[in-house]
Amino acid sequence: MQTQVLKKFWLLCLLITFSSVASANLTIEITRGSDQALPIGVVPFAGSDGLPEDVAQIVQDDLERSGYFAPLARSAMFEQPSQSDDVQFGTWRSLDVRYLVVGRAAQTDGGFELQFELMDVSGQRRMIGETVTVRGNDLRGAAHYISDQIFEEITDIRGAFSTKIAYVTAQGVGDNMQFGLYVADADGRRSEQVLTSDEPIMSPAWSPDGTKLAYVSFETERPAIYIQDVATGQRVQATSFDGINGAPAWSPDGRRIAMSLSKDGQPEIYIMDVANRSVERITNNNSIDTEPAWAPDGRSLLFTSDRSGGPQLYQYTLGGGEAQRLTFTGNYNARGRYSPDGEQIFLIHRSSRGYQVARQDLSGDRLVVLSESTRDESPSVAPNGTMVIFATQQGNSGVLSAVSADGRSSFRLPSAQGDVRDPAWSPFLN
Amino acid sequence: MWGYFLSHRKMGKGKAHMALKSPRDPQDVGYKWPTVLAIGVHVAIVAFSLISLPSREAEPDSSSIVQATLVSTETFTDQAQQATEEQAAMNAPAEPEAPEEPAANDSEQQAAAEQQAAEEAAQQAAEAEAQALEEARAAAEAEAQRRAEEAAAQAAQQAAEAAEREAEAEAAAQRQREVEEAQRQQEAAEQQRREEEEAARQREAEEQQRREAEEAERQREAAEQKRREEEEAARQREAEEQRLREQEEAQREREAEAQRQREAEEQQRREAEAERQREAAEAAEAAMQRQLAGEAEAAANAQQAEQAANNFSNIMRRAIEQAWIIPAGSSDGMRASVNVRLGPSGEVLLVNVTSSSGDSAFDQSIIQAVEQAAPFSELLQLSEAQQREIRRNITLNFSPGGVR
Repeated sequence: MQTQVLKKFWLLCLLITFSSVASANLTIEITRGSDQALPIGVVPFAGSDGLPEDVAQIVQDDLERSGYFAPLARSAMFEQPSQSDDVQFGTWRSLDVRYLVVGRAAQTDGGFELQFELMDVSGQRRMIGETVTVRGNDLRGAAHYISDQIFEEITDIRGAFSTKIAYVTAQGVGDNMQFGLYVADADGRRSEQVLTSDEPIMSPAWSPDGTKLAYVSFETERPAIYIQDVATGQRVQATSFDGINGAPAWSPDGRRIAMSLSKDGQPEIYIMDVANRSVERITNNNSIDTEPAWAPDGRSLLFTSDRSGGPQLYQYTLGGGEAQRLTFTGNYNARGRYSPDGEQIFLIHRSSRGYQVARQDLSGDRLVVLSESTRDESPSVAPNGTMVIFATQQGNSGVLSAVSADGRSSFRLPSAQGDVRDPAWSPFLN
Repeated sequence: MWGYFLSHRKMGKGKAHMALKSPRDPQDVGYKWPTVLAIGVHVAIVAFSLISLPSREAEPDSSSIVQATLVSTETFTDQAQQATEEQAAMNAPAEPEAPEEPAANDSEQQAAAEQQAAEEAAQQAAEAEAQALEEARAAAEAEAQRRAEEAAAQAAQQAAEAAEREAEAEAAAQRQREVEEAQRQQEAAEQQRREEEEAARQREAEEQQRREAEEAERQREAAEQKRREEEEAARQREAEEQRLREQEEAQREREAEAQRQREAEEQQRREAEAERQREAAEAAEAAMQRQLAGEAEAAANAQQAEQAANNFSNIMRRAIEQAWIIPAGSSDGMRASVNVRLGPSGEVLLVNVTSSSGDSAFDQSIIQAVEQAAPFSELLQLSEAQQREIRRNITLNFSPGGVR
């Protein structure tokens, strides 16, 4: 009787102990999050009035385009501090802002001086701050630089706002068509025409150092590959083989260019030595092999081949063996590009909806469609791998669009004149 | 026959006197004349009696006379003896009747046939004697008077003669006495010596006896002492044993008492223990009963608490999920854990990444999510105990399993 009572008692104690132990540590599993962009407030820089550029706005747009950030509308800002000491975190917190950028701009002799600070509103702390000296009137470049700093500080990813894009435009119709090669800021602004031609211009490719562009020009009425210095505009014809000379791609070391040549029949993958123009055939079969891309380590090539009946992506490791097919989803996967880390490839996948930008991890064969548009082509990956820029059709016009590497965000680049195609994202330029 | 009796009687008397007179100083010469006178009187009386009663009284008188003569004779031979005889004779008048009654009794025994006649004759004779006696007494007195005077004269003469003889005799006697005295003294001395010796012997004997007695006494006393000592020892032993017995008894008593005490204490302890156990059991039972009785309530409370905790957990989870902006480019496989400490009002005091995803932006997003979701003022709805427990022990595991 007593023993039983005691037994029960101890059991009870044990249960209480365990229950209290169990309740002593509250463990919560967080499995869901928002795919929304980070709310950020970029307060207009003090002293910006009268300046040629609204630096804060440029930064805000950069961040917004990246897809990572959701900037707070200026109209919602109750106060506009210009330095961290003036920041009332509660105010910004109440606006559900996670980060806040404040700064000042001042014109100096021969330029400008920008000061900015980044603060973590949630953590109520200043994260970074810097004074940027601007020579000339390159306030946009300074703004992109600031964007890069902010982006990298928050995301730990190098910002690519200061990079460039190259793209081709086509204007006019019929015999009056004009083709132009343009280089612009990554946001599409400050575009510069580096080449114009009455004949089509195709497939621009940035040299790894960002100083040159290789492209295909039909100006000789036959496709030929040219290499042009972006800054000086000087250009050279690199190839003039019979047949197709297309799809140039610079090797990571910049000394070689992979390309597709049909001089020997079907288009095949060749590698040309930039210095001596010699070419080396990589592929050799009866199918079309084109659109080569270098792996970041320069040891393998990714290309499109229809050797399986339809266009699919293959990977060829330099120096050995057969090319290995990578894509098996659907019957159309083309125009593959490596991510900067070499672990993913971005491509055009023809789905039931159409041609879309997709991503596939090289560790598997699962393919993820990123874009919402259905007539996409020519994806090009930002050097930081966060975005993919591509051409798509809007109405009857081709436009540039970008999608985040995870597909969560996308934006349309400001419309250039005409039909825009073949975007190419530059490497980091600094 | 009478002579035998008389001599026997005299001898007996003499012995008796001798025994009596022995210490007397022998200066009895002064009584000589009276003694002679007394003898004379007696002779006269006897003579008279013989005249009147010759048949019967003759024999005794004659023997008395003879005897008297003998005494006188003997006087010379032995002075001491004579004195004794004289003394005996001198004593005789003091008891004149005394030998007669026994004589009568004797005659009765001797001559029973003559008894009647004798009695008659005695009666007559007694009467006559009484008469005659009266007369005789008077005549005798006169005669005695005269004879006494004659005797006195004669005696005076004789005394003078005798005095000479006496003087001679006295001198001789003196010498004799001196010799005797010397002898006697010697004897006395001897006697004394003997007596002294005897006394010494006796004393010695007595001393011996005394010593022996003393020795005996001493021994007796020693024995007695020993006995007493033994008795004492025995008594002491007895007392000791008694004491020991008493001690043992007392010890036993004490032990028994201690045992009883122990037993009582043990009993008390057992009872207390039993009581304690019973109380503990009752308390446990009561606690359990309370627990059981209040189980519904406790369970409700616990459930409520758990529910509150769960509610808080859910609120916190939802708030953090709401606040968590999964960084672009985050892979599904990313995992990170943080430990969160809350302040009393549910404000975030510390977010510590305990397990990093390896992606700083991802980790940062988690920290920011927690910070953004704070304050978790719902904490205040919990019990204080729960608040205390929860505030410092919140673990958040982040894994982007889905997108809202």
